[in-house]
Amino acid sequence: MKWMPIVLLAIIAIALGLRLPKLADRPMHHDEANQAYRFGILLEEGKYEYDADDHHGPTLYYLTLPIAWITGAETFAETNETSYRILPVIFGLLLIAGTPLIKNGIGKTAVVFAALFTAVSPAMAYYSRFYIQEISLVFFTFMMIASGWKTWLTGKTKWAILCGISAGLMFATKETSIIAYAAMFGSLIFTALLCRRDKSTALSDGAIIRASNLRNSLFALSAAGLTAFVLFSSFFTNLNGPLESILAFKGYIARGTGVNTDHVHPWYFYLQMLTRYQFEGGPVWSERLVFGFGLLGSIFILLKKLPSNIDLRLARFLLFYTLLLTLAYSVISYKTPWCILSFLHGWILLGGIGVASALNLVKRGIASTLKTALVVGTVIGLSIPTIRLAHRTVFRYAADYRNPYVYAHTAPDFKNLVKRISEIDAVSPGEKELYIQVIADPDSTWPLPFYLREYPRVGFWTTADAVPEQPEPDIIISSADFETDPEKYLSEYYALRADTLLSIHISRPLWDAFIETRK
Amino acid sequence: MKTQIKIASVAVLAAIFAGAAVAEETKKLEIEYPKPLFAGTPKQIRTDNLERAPVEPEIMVPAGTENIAAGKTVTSSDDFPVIGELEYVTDGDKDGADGSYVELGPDVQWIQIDLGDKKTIYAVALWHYHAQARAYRDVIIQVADDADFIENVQTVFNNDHDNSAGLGVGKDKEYIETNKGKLIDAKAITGRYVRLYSNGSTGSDMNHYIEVEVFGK
Repeated sequence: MKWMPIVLLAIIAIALGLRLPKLADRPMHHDEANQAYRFGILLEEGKYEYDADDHHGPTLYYLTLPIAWITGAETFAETNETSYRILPVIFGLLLIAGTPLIKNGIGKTAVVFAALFTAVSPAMAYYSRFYIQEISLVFFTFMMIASGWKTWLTGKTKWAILCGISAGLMFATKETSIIAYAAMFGSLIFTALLCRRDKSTALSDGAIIRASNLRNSLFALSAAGLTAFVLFSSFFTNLNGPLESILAFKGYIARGTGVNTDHVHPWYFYLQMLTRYQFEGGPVWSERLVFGFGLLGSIFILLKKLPSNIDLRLARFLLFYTLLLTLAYSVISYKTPWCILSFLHGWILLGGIGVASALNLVKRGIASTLKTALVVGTVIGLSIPTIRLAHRTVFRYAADYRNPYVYAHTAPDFKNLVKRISEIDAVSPGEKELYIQVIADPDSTWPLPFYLREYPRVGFWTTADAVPEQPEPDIIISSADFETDPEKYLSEYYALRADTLLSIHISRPLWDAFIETRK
Repeated sequence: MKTQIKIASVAVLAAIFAGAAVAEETKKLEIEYPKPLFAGTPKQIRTDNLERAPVEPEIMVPAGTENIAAGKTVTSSDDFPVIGELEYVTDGDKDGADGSYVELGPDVQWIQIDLGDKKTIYAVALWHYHAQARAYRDVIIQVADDADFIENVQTVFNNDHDNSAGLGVGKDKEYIETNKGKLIDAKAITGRYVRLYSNGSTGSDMNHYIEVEVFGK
C-alpha cells in the first residue's frame, strides 16, 4: 500500500487548519499593507518598477496577480486581506507538498516527518499567513536544493533548468537569497572535503564530474540569470531594474552591519526563538520540536549512523547548509523574526533525518516493533503541544506583542478605528464620500492606506503646515499629540502599534449624527 | 433696416447666451490628494515607560485631607482577576511593572472601594497601566451611599463619549496613561462607595488598575 501520499494528505489537512481559517482577522501589518498598496498600483495601472529603497524583489507582486484575476478584483479597493494572504498560504502548503522531491536523498520516513514539522512549526504556520516574501523565498530555496540534488543525481537537464529558475526566483524575491547561495556554496565545499576523505561516500559516486553536469550548470546559470532579469526588468519594460537590484546591495550590506537600521538585535535573537522565548508573563514560545530533532539528526549525520535510504552526501550538505545559514543570520546585526524561516526549514529537514535515523536504530535487536511504536508515539506526542502552540500563535496571539513572531505589528485596536470610520460613513450624506486627512509620519501611516482604500477622498500629509485650510475635512487621523478645535471635532485615541497611538478627529455634525444612532 | 434689426437681434441673443454660459461655468472643487509615503518596517518597541506631560488640575483641598482609600477593601465586577489581586488597587504601590497591577476581564468592568463611612471627597487619582502608551475607554467614576449604587449616585468623571458603557454620554476627554496617573477634581461631593468603570483600552480588551487614591476626610 502506498502509505506516504495518505499520510502527506493528512499532514496537509493539519497545515490547512493552521493556515487557512480567519485570514482577515489579524490587522494588516505595516509591511503587508505597504506591499498590498504596491500591488494595487500594478493591478490598476499595470505598472511595476523595482524600487530598492525599503522594498524587496518583484515576485510577490507578480504572483498576486493571478489571485486577483481569479477573484475578479480589478481595483485595489476590490481586494481584501484574504486576497493577499492566500498567496503565502499556497506557498506554505507547496513547501509541505514538495518535500517528497528529496525522497531519493533522505527516504520516505524523513520526508514524512519533515513535512509534519513544517506543518506544525509555529513560525512556519504564522508566516504562511503573512503577506511578505519570506515563505515564498523558503519554497524557492528548497526547490533550488531539491532540483539541484536531482540534476546532480540523474544528470537530467530539466532539473538543472528548474534549479536555475528557482535560484532566479529566490533572487527576485528577496535580497537575502545571497546568504542562502553563500551557505549552499560553503556547504558544498565542506561536503566535498568530507567526501574526499571518506572513500565510501566519494562525490564521484554521483555525476558531479560528468561532462553533462558542466552543461547542466550552464543551463542552470542561464535560467537563473534570465528569470531574475525578466522579473527585475518588469518583463523588459524597465531595463534599469536588474542593474539596480545589484547596486542595492550597497545599502543592504550597510544595513546588515547595523548601519541606518532600527532592527539591530543581539546574536542570540534567533536562538531564543528556537529554544525558549517569553515576554512579560506571556506564554512560552519555542521551536523545540524542530530544533531538538534537528540536533538529533545532526548527530546521526556526524556519526554516519543513517538508514540506507538516506544519502550521506545530501545529509551532510543539509547539515552544513543549515549550520552556516544559522550562523550567518545570527552574526548579521540586522534581524527581523521572519528571517528565521530560512534556516528553520534546514532544521526541519534535519529533524526528519533525526526521526528516521532513530527509527532505524530501534529497528534492530529485540522488541523492535515496540520500540518503533515508542519512537513514533514520542514524536507524535511531542507534536501535539507544538500544534497547540502553533494554534495560539496564529489565532489568539496573532497580533499580541508577547508573541515572538509579532514584530512592530499593528495593534488589534486599530480595527476599532477602521470600524469607527465605517460608522461615521454610515451616517454621512454620501457613501464613501468622507474627506479624510491623514497627518502623520510615514512610520505611523501604514496600514491606513490599505484600510482606507475604498475612500477616494483621502490625502496623506506628514505635517499639519502642508495641509490645505479649505475645505475642512470630515475626519482627521493624526499622531496622538495633534490637537484640533474641540468645538469642531470630537477626538478619540486608537492604537496603531503596541506603543504608538493615533487620534481620530471627527467633525461635530457627523459625530452628533452618529451619537443619535446610539441613543 | 431689416438687416440691422437682424444683426442687433443676433447680437443681443449672443450676449444673453454668452452671459448664461459664463454664469453656468462653475465646477466642483477638486482637491489633489497626496499619496502615502512608503516606509520600511517600523521599529519594534517592547517596553517604554512613558514620561509625558499630562495636564494636572490644581485642586485646593482643606487641611487634613488625606488618601482615605489607602488599605480599604476593593471589590470588582470580575470576581477572579486574570492577573494580580484586587488589594493592589489600594496598597500604595504605583509601579508600572508586573506584580503591581490587577487585570480584570474584557469589556465593561468596574472596581469599587468601600471608604468605610460616608466621606467628603475632594479628588480622585488613578493609575490604570503605564508601561505602554494606552488610553482606557469609558473611564467613569461614580460615588454613592450604598454598595449597589442606588442611593445618591453622583458621577465625578465620564469620558464615555459614545455611550458604549450605557451609563450616559460623558463629556470628559480620553487621556493617555502615564506614570503621573490621572488626577480628577471631585468637587467635595459626599459618599461612602467609589466605583471606577473602564471598557478595555487601546492596548487590549482587558481592564487594568495599578492604584486608586481618594482624597477626602
